[in-house]
Amino acid sequence: MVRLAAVLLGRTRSIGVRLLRAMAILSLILVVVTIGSTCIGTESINFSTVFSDPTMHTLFFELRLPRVIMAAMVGASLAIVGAALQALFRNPLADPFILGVSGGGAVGASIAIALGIDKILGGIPFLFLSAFLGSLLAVFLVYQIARTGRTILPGALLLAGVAVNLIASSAVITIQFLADPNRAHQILRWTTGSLDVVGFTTIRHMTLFLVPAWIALLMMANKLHLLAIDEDTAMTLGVNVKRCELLIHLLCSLLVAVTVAVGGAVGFVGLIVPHAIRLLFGEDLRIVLPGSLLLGASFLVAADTAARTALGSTELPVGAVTALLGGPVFLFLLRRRQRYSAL
Amino acid sequence: MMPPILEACHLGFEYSPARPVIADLSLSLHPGALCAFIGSNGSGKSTLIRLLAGVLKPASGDVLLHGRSLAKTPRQEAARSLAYVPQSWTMVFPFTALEVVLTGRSPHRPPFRLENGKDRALAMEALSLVEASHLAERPVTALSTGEQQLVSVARALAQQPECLLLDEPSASLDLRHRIALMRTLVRLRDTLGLAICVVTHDLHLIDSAFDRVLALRNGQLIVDDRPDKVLNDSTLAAIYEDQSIRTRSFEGRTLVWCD
Repeated sequence: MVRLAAVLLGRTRSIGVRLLRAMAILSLILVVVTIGSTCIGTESINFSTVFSDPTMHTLFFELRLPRVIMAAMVGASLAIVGAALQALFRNPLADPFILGVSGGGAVGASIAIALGIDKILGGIPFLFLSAFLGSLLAVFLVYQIARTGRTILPGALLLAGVAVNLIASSAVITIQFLADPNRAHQILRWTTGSLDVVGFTTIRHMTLFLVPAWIALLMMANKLHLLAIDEDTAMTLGVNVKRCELLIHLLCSLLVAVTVAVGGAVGFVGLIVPHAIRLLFGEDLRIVLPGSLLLGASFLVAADTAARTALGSTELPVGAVTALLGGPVFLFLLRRRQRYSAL
Repeated sequence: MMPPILEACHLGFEYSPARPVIADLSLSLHPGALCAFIGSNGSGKSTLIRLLAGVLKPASGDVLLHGRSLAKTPRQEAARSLAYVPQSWTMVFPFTALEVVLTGRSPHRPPFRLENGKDRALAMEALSLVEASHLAERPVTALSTGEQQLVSVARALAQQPECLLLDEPSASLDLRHRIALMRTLVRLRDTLGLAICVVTHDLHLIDSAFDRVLALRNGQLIVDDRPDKVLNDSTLAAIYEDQSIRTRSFEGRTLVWCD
């Protein structure tokens, strides 16, 4: 089945052709999913009256559309981070949620909320900054623990991620107890992930950080391609490994922090999406990175649509949907990996 | 004599303090020279070649590429003259062999440019030089260690370097591919004037084709001479610190064994 898809999609052609084809297919999917999702919801939208009827106008422009765009941006960010971390750590099980990067961000965000700091410092919401520091701390911690000289131990990486996650979720709970009850409720939504949003202010703030970070990561695709194959060889092919690692840590922390600050810790998107891209279009990081960006957007838009419509009027946290889908995928990959090399 | 491509000047390196792996080692590699690094396990061969390749940073002294400090040479520029084949590598993702070999072309491309047909042709040629064309579309994770080594060597050849550093390239190769590899190295030296260094335990590989044999013991260069001057009972006994090593010349080849 997978092989058939690979043949149909032509894995052996030149990279340029394959990249264009992948981008065309994935863009088409994104367009279809996005349009479909704006139409689906508990309240049906009459598109002939969105401009004339104020209720419809609010429903579409203040609630439905921002939510779909936000889901797309969060999904795209998490998926590209997953693809980048998998390549950088040469670990197919890396994901911002599993490695505790999202957890670190959640602690940072919770502290900001508990302290009631909703200031905007020079255009940057303090929430973003605080979440960024949390994510950065988590990624450095996990990396330092797993790094032993020349190799990054795959098992240690994942275990360190588990530990950081446990510490982070306990910290968030503690902060909730210490915080004032109103704010505690606000923190609660960070633990499972939810994408409800009103209007475009948050999205404008997100765009300011996410889009440049996406571009910066995409510009590193060739270096990540070399790093995914072998670190020493990448070094002798002209990659400054230390600088690359630092840059990717910073960019990934920024992307994850912003998504956590606006939507909470949504898990497993960064795991499933890059794997799907690899199965369909091959291993080349210059396809996997932009491909994950597009498919990640489609995936989370679809998952969020399922989350807000599946149970009728009650809404499911989108993090629960992605975890229910992604958890089994993780276990399957773990099982498959054991056959190749011991964790 | 042509100026050296690669030089080591009073090189020193240690993994843990006060236990030097390489101590005050100097050497120079000239174009058109095929050199073998030999020595017992832990003598510092791999460390030396990793220092020369720029994978490790020397604790003291310096490595010079075309007379200029390797650490200060832009990496991309260094990668166009210097290629390194590691002893082993752990493949995690199922890249195809051709994809891996194509990465050897990346130092020659301007940033943000994808490979073109010429790069692919060069990569296929590199694979055929090590008689591994049939592996091109296979995922590297499914290859044997020896096949992976061939792919790694092909990747280094696709880099079109002036200096090629190989860390035990023949360790997992069968006889046919071992011979093919040696033939390729000799041809690259003779036609393109490459400087080639091979770390090896395989003393039978060191025949008349080699120009120099450099022997290491405890991180120091103790012998640097022509193969016929090195491959004899007393010199090998000194290098490996074992008196039972015997050699015999046989139709221009040297056979080595232990009593």
